[in-house]
Amino acid sequence: MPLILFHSPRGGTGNSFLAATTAIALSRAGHDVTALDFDRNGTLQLHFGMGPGERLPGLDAPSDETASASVQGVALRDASALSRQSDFAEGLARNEFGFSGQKVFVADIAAGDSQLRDMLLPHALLEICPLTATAESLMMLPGITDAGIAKTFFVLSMVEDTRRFARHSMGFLRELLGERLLGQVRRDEAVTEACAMLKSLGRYAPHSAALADTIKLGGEISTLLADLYDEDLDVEFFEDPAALGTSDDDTRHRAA
Amino acid sequence: MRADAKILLERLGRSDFRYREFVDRFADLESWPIFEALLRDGRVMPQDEAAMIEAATPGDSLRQPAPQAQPAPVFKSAPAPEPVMPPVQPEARAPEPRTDAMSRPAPSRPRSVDLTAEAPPPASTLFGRYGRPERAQNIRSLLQRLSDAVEGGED
Repeated sequence: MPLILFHSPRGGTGNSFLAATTAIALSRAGHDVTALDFDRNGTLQLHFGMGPGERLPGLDAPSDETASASVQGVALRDASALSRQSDFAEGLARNEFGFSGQKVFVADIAAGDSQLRDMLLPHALLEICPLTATAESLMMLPGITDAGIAKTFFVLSMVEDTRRFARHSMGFLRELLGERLLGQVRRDEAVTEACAMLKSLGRYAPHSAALADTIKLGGEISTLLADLYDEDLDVEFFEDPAALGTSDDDTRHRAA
Repeated sequence: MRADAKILLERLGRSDFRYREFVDRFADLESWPIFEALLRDGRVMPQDEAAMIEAATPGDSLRQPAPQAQPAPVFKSAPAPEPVMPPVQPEARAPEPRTDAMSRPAPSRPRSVDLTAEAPPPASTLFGRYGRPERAQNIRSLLQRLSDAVEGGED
């Protein structure tokens, strides 16, 4: 099963939020999902309702440790330290991390870490690149396309549909990116508030506009995977906005 | 009505609000120079492909004035764009395709993209990757109308 990269060349695009919600959505769709935080100063766990004092086990941690960090069916791992090791590239080449196994790995990569992105991309099945409807984000497009986007799909993130340029950018990017644009996620204060409450968005604001958008996005990505693996996945789940983060099995085991 | 707005109004117990959906209607779109700058960038849109499209549909140039018989440009304002392609002979002009592409919903998930490719194609572009020059043509046609609007003094 695949490695899915979440990386944007520009920061502040909601990359970690989208990685987290996509991981949860894929888990709900029946995948065995592990979310990897490759950012040394990452905030991925915050979107799972885990505070800064809670440490994630490493990607190479013993199994008795890895069993202790699971939120909403998603195993959380800190991959930042491992990725900085000198033999990480060799480990990738030897498939030591199971990226070709049965699990789905969702990787949150820091905006500035294009070197790591380039290292992981050959081992990834998909790359999701969040863009915002701003001139600054649009300016990144030539660099992205120049590097090759055979595996890259885009998401318009933090969209404010009351803003004129945002609406125009949405129309422009829809036409420009076409099938590469998987969807859009609206800006929603509830995302910030959920993080501040140390709750997942689904639990804090089940009627959030951003949640509804990410559910739809998760469905698109899940269907992509189903196409690739010819699997019969149950995507009916995605029609239930409350399904992300509000179920009874939202148990969390915290690492020591 | 958006679900979150509906919930909010229900919680407030208010039914006297007027709900307005902000949509990106084609008629509201404006030409921003950054849009054209992106399309002029060979990394986004190959200039040889643009030339091929230009040859296939002569007259589809930003510098081509709008024929008098054409309906009025749909853009309400248009910051002055730079010309993208050199002018072509007016007599070679082909019928302009309808430019309603910007109002279309985003296509559903891709079916034709080879995701299993081991290595990304070098320095290829969005449009070239799809093998769908008609998409580029849509945008070029759009920008032509933007340019026409500017030349026609629309705002």
